[in-house]
Amino acid sequence: MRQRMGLVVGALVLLGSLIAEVFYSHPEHAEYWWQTMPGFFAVFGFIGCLVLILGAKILGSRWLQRHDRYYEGGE
Amino acid sequence: MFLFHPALILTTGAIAAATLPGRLRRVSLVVFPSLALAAVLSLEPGTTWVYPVLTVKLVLLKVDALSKVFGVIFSLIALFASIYALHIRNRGEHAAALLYAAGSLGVVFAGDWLTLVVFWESMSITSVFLIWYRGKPRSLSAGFRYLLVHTLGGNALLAGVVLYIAGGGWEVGSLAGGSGSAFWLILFGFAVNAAIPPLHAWLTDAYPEATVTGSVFLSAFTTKVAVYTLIRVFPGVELLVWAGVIMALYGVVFAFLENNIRRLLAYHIVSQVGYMVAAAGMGTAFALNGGTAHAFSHILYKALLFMGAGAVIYATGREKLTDLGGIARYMPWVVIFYTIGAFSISGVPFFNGFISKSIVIAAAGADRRPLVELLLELASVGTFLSISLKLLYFMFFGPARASRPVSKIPLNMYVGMGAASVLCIVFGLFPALLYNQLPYRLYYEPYTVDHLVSSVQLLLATAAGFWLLLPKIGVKNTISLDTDWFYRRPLAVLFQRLVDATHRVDRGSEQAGTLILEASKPYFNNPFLAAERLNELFGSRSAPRGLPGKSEPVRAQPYDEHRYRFPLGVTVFWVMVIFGLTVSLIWIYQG
Repeated sequence: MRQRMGLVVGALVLLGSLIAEVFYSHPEHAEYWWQTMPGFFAVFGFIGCLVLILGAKILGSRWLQRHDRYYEGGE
Repeated sequence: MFLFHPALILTTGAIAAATLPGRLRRVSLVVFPSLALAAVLSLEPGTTWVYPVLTVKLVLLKVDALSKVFGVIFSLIALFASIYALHIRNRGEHAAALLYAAGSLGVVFAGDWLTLVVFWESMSITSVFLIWYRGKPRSLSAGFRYLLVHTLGGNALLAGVVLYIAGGGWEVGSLAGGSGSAFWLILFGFAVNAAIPPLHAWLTDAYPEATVTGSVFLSAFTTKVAVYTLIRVFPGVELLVWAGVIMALYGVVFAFLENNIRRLLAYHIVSQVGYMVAAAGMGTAFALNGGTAHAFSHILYKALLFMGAGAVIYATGREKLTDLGGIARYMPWVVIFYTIGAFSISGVPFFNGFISKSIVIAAAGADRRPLVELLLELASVGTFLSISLKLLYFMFFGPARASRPVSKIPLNMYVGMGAASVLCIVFGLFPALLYNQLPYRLYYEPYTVDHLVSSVQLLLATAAGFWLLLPKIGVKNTISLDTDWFYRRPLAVLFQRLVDATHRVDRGSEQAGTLILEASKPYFNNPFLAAERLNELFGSRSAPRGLPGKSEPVRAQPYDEHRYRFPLGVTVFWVMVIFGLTVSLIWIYQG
């Protein structure tokens, strides 16, 4: 129930931000194409988040992560 | 108008904390940092105090807008962290913490290189006690590694400064555009303290092993003093832009893998300092303002986050995410304060990270660096992911692995967290309070529709990604290998081999010596024995066979050492002669 509430609120805020972006933004201040594209940062954030999580997970499990007592002589 | 150097006030405070009894000590822990803050606030930009010592003129205090804003935040956080630590009974820890803070103010206001180096070294020597006072074996060894790395960095800085002074330099100023060994040595020394990978591992190794209150001090000073010196000495050094971007992402990735709550926060120091280092590297007035503002905000919210994590460790005695969870209802205020810190570092609108991080990102855009701008935005996705979502969820909510807290959190810890929280929100709501203190004029408005919209979208999308992958994220009881592996494993093995080899040589030579001594003992007892043995080996063959009787008399008469000794009288005679000669010589020359 709580999760669904969170989802609904999140979706509404996202929708509101997209509307605000379309109607109230000032594209004349923009320096690059992505600053004028509606919803760019939502897509960027979502993909970036997935890339970071999966990238870190792969890096960790394949290479970096060791048991907690690695330096005390455990493996 | 105060007539004391702020560092001197904190040093006096350290002496007071080390000597005064109970209640007076607690009063002094609040009074002296407050006095230092008042002293910094009353300093007028342009003030310079010069002390001639022997042949040099020490510039102990030189104030401009940049040093003043750093001085303000350092003395402010010294006050908050002291309040947070009021319940600690260990005098040494208080004294070390205040001396450490005094060192940071000394560096910030140092006008010449020699003063800067002396205060710089004092910071690493005093701060290591904040790690050692935790008293665990891990803290002891982490403290030694911390000290060794900082000694390396400090010596590089010292060597660079000596070369620079030998070349005629004296006052601290920009070296940008230079080259040569002095330039690189000083940059290396600063880079160690700024925790630029691969020189950063001392930070994430040692800070989580410090005392609960000590890590709050540690999170504020060393790296941000290095940021100050980078802004002052190396503005516009292109290398730093990319070093900063790499730092920002490196810290985020490692933080996400981390299980120890304070090590996770420590990786986010690396990440956040990356924004400041990148700003120093861009070197425009806009970027330098951004770096300074972000250092100011960062010190507040990072101290707050370490205070929150410290309160959890204090209350539960646990510091790993795999041992925590489900404790939110036992400490609602800690959750609130921690969340304020987490929202600040993530750049949520109306918190102080939002108004300072965005200057650095906007400066990258204004400086025509689109890739830097986007990568820094990506790092803030990772920041929100680990600090606000992962840590908040697995520490306070999530599956409960911890039982009821074991100790009650003292009131002063709440006061410290509350004060930092209030300022995080105040500066977030009224950015002009911070912008007016910055070294250059700033034309920037953080609360535009575009900026609000892009931040909200970025954060919401990150939360959605986290929610989607939550079943896969989990936490594991692991550590991650980092560049400290090189000196904790291969170098340690090499060192151990060297020690073993030396030990073997020592023991072997001792055994060989004993053998030789044993074998030669009869020859010392009887010097003729050697001749006899030689005679047995070689002589007997050449001796005429038919006449064995000729060699018999030597053996027949056993060796008696007294036969070959001088009578005692001879020795006495020569002693008397030499004594007489000496006396007469002295007598002649005296006369």
